[in-house]
Amino acid sequence: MKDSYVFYKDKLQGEYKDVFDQVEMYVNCENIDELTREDRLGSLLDMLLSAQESGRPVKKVVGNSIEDFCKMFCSDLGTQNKIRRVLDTLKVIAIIELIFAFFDLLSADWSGTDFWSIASNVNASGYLFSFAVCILIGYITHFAVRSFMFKRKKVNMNLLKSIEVCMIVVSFIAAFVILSSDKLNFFTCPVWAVILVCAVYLVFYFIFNRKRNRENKQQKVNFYDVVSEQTHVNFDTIMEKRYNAFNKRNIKKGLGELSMREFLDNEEKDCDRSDKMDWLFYVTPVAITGLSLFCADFDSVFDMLFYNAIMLVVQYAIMHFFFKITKNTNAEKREWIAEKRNELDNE
Amino acid sequence: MDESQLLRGILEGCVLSIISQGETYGYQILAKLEENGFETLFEGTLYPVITRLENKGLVSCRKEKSPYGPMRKYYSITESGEKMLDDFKKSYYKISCAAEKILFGEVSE
Repeated sequence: MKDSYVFYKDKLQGEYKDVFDQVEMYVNCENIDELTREDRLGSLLDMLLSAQESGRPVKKVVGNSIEDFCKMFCSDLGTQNKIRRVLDTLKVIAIIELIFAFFDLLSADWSGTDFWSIASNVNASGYLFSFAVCILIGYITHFAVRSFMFKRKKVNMNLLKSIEVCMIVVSFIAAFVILSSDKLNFFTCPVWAVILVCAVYLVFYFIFNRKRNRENKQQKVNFYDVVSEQTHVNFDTIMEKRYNAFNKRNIKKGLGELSMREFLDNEEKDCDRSDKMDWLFYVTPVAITGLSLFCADFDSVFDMLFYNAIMLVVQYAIMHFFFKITKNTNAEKREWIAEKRNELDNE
Repeated sequence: MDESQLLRGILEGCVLSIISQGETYGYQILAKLEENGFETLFEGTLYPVITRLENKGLVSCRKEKSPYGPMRKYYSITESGEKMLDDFKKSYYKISCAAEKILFGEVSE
């Protein structure tokens, strides 16, 4: 399990949790790069957990004004940090633009044309406008959240988080509307240009951050960690329900109840079976792509190969996402089984 | 007179002195400062001070998982930090003696 603060937030209670949530929301709306944000929030979380444990009032840690604390907490970051934050924002925008560019590419007319002229008249001005609008939406939303969150004594964090999510959805919708609009179509360019610019930027971004990412690999939260944290399974509750439901079913069928040890053995076998299904990850995209070879009609071998290469990449990206989530859940389940066995051995 | 102005001048030296006594971390530094009379301090004030010390190379830091889970930064003083602390103590003694003479007409031991 990674060492991000995200996995330990739940240990805070009451006032300590409220304060941390507020500061986290403020920090997320500030111009701070991911790793510095992770670093600072991790330190604050550790300090609040220490204060909670020792019974120290939360005001001794953050002072009387959360707003002043947040401003001071985010001060002294330096120009380098602001540059990194801009690069992080551009990374997100580049990914959004790349997704739309791929859709443009896939929806283009592929028949009877020279390969390089496919989707050669995409709305380049639209891409630039959507880029600017996404950044503007982001800054306006963050500014509004930062300003609003200290106006009331008690802030509804779920409301603020919903606003953040809406911001991302609105960005996508705005990009889609702009790109589809003829009124904003001032100049065009091949979609390859858009894909190339975005891809080159992303490659340089990852190379630029390679050293820092390697040093902070354990701490950096990535998309999978966020999803794992959001979908984190409370195995104690779920397994207890499963165990009870299993035994209830056994009793109805006239079979004996399973002991907890036997139940744990069964669950471990389930994990082993699930781990053995890794081959599905490799085979499924190939099978689907293979089917399309028979069903689809391509004008040339090159078109067929190119189209299927793209489809394979997209399918593997989707499979990789679900595969990682499943692996993480399986690993957590095994940890829970080992802990439970320890408890039973110690009894 | 605003106390924070006086505080700003001496806080770096005090934090450096605490760190020089042994490897320590943020909460411990805050607790020690409070123990010794700095009651109006909180983490928000402390963080920029420690960041400045780190950026100047006066303290080094290593990360380790805290007993509560999140990563914790442990700070140690460097050689240049020791030298800076010595200089600070000399300057502080000189200034505080002069100030005490003016304010109270005498110098305390």
